[in-house]
Amino acid sequence: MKVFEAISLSKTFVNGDSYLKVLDNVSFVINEGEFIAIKGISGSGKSTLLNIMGGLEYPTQGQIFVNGINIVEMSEEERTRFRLHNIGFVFQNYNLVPVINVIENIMLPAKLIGQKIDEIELKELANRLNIQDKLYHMPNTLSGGQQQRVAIARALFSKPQLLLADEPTGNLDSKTRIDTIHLMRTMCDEYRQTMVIVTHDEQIAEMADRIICIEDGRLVI
Amino acid sequence: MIKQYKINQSPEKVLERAYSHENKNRNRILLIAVTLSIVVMFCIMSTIYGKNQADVLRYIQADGMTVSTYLENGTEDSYAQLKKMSYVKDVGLENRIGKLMNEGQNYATCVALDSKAYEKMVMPSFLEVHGKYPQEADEIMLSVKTLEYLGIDNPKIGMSVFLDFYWNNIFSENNTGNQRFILAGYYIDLRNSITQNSVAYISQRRLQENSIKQFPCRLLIDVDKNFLSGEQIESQLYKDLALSEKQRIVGNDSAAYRAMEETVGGIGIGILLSMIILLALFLFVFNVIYISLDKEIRQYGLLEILGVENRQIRKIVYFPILRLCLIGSVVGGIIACIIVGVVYPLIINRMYQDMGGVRLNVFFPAFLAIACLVTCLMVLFATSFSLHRLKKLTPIQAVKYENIDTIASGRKKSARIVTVKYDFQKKRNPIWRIAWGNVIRSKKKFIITILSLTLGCQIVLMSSVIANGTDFMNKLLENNDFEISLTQNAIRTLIETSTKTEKMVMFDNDMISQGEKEANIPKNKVERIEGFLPIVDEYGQDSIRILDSQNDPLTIIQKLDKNKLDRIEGYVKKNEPLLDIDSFMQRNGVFILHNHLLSEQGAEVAKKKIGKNIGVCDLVPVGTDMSESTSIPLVNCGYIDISKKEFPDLDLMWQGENTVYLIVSENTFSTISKILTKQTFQMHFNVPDKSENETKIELKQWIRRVNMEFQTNGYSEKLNLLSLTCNSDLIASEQKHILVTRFIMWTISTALSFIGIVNYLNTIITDIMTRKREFAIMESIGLTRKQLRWMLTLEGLFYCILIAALLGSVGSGILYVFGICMHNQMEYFTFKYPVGLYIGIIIILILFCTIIPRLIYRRFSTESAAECLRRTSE
Ligand SMILES: Nc1ncnc2c1ncn2[C@@H]1O[C@H](COP(=O)(O)OP(=O)(O)OP(=O)(O)O)[C@@H](O)[C@H]1O
Ligand SMILES: [Mg+2]
Repeated sequence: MKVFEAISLSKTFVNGDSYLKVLDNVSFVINEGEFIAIKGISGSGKSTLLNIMGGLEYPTQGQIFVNGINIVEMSEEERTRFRLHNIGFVFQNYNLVPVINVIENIMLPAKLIGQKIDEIELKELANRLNIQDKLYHMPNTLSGGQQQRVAIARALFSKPQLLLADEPTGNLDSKTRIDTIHLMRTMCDEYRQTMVIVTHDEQIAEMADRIICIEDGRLVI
Repeated sequence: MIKQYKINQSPEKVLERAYSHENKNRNRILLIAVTLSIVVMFCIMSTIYGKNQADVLRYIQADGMTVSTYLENGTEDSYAQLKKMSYVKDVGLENRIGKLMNEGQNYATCVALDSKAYEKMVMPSFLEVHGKYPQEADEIMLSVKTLEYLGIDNPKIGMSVFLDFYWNNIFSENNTGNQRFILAGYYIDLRNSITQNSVAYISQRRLQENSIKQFPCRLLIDVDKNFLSGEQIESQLYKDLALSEKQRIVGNDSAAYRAMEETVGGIGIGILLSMIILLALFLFVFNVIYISLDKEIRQYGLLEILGVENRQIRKIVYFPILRLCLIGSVVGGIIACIIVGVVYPLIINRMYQDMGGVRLNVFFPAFLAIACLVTCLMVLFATSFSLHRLKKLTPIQAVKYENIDTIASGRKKSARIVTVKYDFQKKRNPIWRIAWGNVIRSKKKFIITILSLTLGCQIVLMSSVIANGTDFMNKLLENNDFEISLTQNAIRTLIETSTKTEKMVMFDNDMISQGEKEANIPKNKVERIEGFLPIVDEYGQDSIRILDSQNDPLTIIQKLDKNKLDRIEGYVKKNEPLLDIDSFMQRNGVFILHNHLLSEQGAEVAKKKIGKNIGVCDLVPVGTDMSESTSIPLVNCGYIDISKKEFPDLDLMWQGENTVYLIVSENTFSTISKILTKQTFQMHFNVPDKSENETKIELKQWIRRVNMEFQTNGYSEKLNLLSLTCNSDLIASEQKHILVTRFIMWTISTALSFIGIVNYLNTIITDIMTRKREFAIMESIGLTRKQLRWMLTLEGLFYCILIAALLGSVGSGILYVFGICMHNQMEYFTFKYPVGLYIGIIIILILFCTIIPRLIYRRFSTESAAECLRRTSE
């Protein structure tokens, strides 16, 4: 079953007089339960693609369907609500709301959807990501890697159908990195979630069902 | 604590609480701002209101009446018409029908009022009142002045007094002559009547018993239109009333209107002032919120990405601000109430003590409501204005928002300037370029800071200009130190009774030189108001009689100098095109100046009188055969009402009170002086400040002697020939009023400058707090703290220079225009550029701008750079 479909996406950044075509007529499909890695050299447009997929940025051209619903044509408010219920994010940085503590950060999307908080499940998840001691700390007292794991926990906890992660493990050592991805992979299979992960790491890419590679604005599959 | 952690709180609550906590400092500042704003606005409104009220009271007391419009010769019919009118609140009846005499001199006018006129219109103008209004025919109410005149120092209600009473109509002789009255009441008033006559009130029954009809009489009209000038009300009434020829409406500016004009020099300027105050407050609040939201935009972007809806974000932002408005309103309200409700009355009532224990109520709750409402609306508006940015940003832009403003980003052009200038290899000190770069880095912040600071300073300058310019002292200081004038009463009495002098000079040169000798009147510094006391021939009387006045005005020819004649000429050319200005200037024309003595019908008749002859003869002793005397023919060039607003101030004798002036050109004047005897009406002069007191004592003695000498010619000992006006006495009597005004103006300007200062502090503090990370980065690049502090100082200096320039150029221009506007509103407004204050402000500004940032920075710079970087890199 198709969870995601992009039809002839293009994205051009205009900066004064200079144009930068980051995506050039890109089309692809992602099916339910797939675990996908996106690769490409720095500046090739991976983050841009991911943002567009999640409706955070507008494509210059093209359509995006999530669960068969066109998110390009939605209003900003509708898109926010849609995102809340269907899509989770993990970014390279700027992940956590600085004014609330770690546990509230993790619970935030779930609470917003109105899910009942399962404390045991939350603790379990925190254990597996090794942040159980940090639950009541404020984000700025965590290390970069810990912050990233909290963001991952948050994305996993509300179990969105589509999870988009932009180099979620950039700050982690190789062992933790593999463990974390492994956890994500397991959750993905367990809950029939779909995950798209941007990574430079060959090892991680190999764990994926499919690898999408961006080169000169086009996809090399 | 961990055990008790409530996991199931709603996310909005959690976020709300977190942000409130995070923004504790900002909220404190805002709370202070809201409170301050409410207090200041309420105080300003209350003071203006209080001062206005005090002025109204002062005017009412001086007028001797709360109303300023009346209809002369009102009939029953006009009474009925008036009562039906929607904008007429009340109509009172006033019969000026009699007088009290003593040795041939009229010392009090007898007036009968109906209960409405007394209770609603006259009584409120008394400083004090004892007893009741006369009801019986033999009852009377006298002023304390009259009682003193009669030698009664210790009046008692119900006591008998023997008075000479006469009706104005000489043919009714019932109940006239010396008789017993019962004192029904007595009062103290503050009427400034130049004719010196006080009023004795008698009952309406006295009229009835002597079969004197109630109508026609003067109808006192209480008009419900405080914002219209007397002239406007008058013409409105003329339009709406059907009047007969003899009836005349007199509409003076109401006490409320005059007070309003005085308070802020017209409503327009009042509004302007409030707008400026509001703008300053708005900029302040906006600045605070804008700066604080600046750093939160990024977080709101993240929240949006996570699925928090815009509506929820708005709630998170607005809720604490609403709560803060509420708290601020309560706290501000309480403080304001204490100030206005307790402190103000103490001060103001003490200053107005001599208003006869009248308690001014400056506390007006509606003002508090307005202050709270306006402040809260402003805060909300400022918030929504700042939040507006978020709408225009996509979540991903919002997340990256803060980068725009910090040095870490190379993407934004303006930021790059700063990075590029980090060239520490160069020998030249690069700090000043970095500082300048910082100043202009964020256009919006730059403009807001400059604008709000400049505005704050401008307000201080402006309020100082207002405070100094409207200072009543200016008006008083323009006056002459001493004025010695002939009294109208003496002139009248002499005209009617004197048989003695051949050439009837009343204030003669002997007397003057005696004064110079005895009272040290400085001979060559004296200026005189001169003229003639003409006897107008029959034809001429025709022209003058149409000026309806029950008090039979005195007709004089007053000499005016070139400058004043030019002003009359200018006035006539501009406002009275129908008058015959050519005859006046080239031939023997005469303008007839009067103080609002023409009714509308009268004005029609007056037009026909233009061109008619007016013959004037010299004043001769009583009983002289007039047919022999030579008369000089003058030509009536028209009538001018000196009570009109545009009419120039000419220093007319007795300020127009009960006087008709024949004004002629300089040539005509010298022609007349060949036949008529020149009179000196007034002498005025200034003396050096140090001898002012001494001169005053000498003058008073001399004048007393002159008057006593005059009275030995068989005149009443109450009749004075000369009167002395000492400006220092006037100043002393106005001193309290001046002090109150000053106090109020300075309160307002202090409050406003306070806002300006708090605004600046807030800008600087928040600016430095949000730049902590940037400082850390700079430090990590290799700037020493000393260099950083120097950079901050330079930034402050740049601001100062810009503000000083703005204030000096645009600000001065505005001040100047403002000064001209004020001068047009108030003749005595004097504009002086507050140079000293300007320099003072700049110096304070420099101290503030350079020292405070350093102090604040020092406080924050106790953290190590790494700590700071880490703490703010969230
Ligand atoms: N808002 C923007 N305006 C202009 N250009 C942009 C903007 N956002 C991204 N770009 C440009 O688009 C290109 C792709 O950026 P993107 O962030 O997608 O790269 P990336 O593949 O994620 O790189 P990395 O692996 O380093 O994260 C870059 O050259 C970047 O400079
Ligand atoms: Mg990227």
